[in-house]
Amino acid sequence: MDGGLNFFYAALVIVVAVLGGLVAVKFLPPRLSGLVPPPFYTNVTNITGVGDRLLLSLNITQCHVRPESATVLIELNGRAIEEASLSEVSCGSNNLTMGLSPYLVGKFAIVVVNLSLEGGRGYVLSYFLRYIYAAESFKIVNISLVNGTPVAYVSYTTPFRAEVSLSDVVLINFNRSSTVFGFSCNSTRNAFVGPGTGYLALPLACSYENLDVLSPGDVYQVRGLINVTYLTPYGNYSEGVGSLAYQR
Amino acid sequence: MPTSDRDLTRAAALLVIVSMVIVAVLPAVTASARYYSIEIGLIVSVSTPTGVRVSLYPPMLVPEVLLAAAAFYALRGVKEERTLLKEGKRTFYELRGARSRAAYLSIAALSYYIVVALELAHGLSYLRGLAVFYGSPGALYSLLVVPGARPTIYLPPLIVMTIASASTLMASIWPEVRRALEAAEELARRGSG
Repeated sequence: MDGGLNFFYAALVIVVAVLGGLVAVKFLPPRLSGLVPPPFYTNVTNITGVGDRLLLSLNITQCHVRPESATVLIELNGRAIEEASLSEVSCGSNNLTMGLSPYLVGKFAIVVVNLSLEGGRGYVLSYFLRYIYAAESFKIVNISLVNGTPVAYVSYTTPFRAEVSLSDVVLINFNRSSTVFGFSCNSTRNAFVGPGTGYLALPLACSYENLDVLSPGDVYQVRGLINVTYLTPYGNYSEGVGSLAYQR
Repeated sequence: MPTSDRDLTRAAALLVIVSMVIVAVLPAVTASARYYSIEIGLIVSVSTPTGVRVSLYPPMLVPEVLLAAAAFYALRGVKEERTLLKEGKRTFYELRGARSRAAYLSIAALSYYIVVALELAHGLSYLRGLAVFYGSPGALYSLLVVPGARPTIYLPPLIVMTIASASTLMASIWPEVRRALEAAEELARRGSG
């Protein structure tokens, strides 16, 4: 090399500089986050299922720019499940009601709040991870013989209309460790229940019965699987609920 | 003729210094919409209805350092040329190293700057607007989005840097070009004579 400009070296310099630039931006992106005084702070203070509705409380504080309207989207595994809008929101507490999809109950979902700023100054997107709670329970509380047929009593609280059936129900005399009914006790029919709380009686057909071990005063363990199909405007959604209870 | 080499190198050094200043002061990428603007260069400036905030973006120091080194080599070339001429030496070969180093460094600065500016503009454009993250208690994150703000590469620093790089490149190859021209002239003179 005689010290003059070499085009191979020039090309090498360009390649190294380009790679250096890519690495610099990748690992050191400009941090704008601390630079912006937020227009306001948003928080989802409460999200609860009441009946088949989902109530959401949105708290907006420190408003430098007033919020104008809100759209709330609830996402599960990247899919939008629910959406609701408020045409007017104020700085402070705001309540929003939306439909409650059965897919959301008992799950952690992403709540995306989109608040537009007054005067068309843009919008603020806030993402929250929230557990969606809704009163919902199914439980076998008792099994008794009615006219010689075993009948299971199920207590329920459901936000939706539902179709209920039982399978794999077992009744064990806990004092004697003996199965009374079981091995494949299934309900002989399905029952339909409306939203709310109540009791349900479902007759059972069992492959094994040993009524000799039934004795008053003993403790009985009741196990079974409750098959619930929620019938909702969003479509039908089925799930199996395990139940374990003790009766005297 | 050597005076023209020296003038060219001096002009290149001056342009490199000017581009250093421009790169330091002006943004590489801008995005603005009603009430809001973001300017990203060595100095990052964000203005919103709630105020203006300024900070530094350290990766943009790299072209500054490269340009400073390029200016140093170009000026050293001018100084050494003067010394060599005083000693009565020809300067074609002695100064090639310093001048080509200045050219390499200014080309590196330009390439780096273009790539960073393109990447920043691309990074800002994904929401089709101006987007700034900020922390909100209880939230995973919050994002202020201002639609209609298209990030664009700010051209003046790029133009000045391109001219500065071209001039350092020209200064590094000029002695050879001049010699070739002189040889061609000499050949033509002999042919006609």
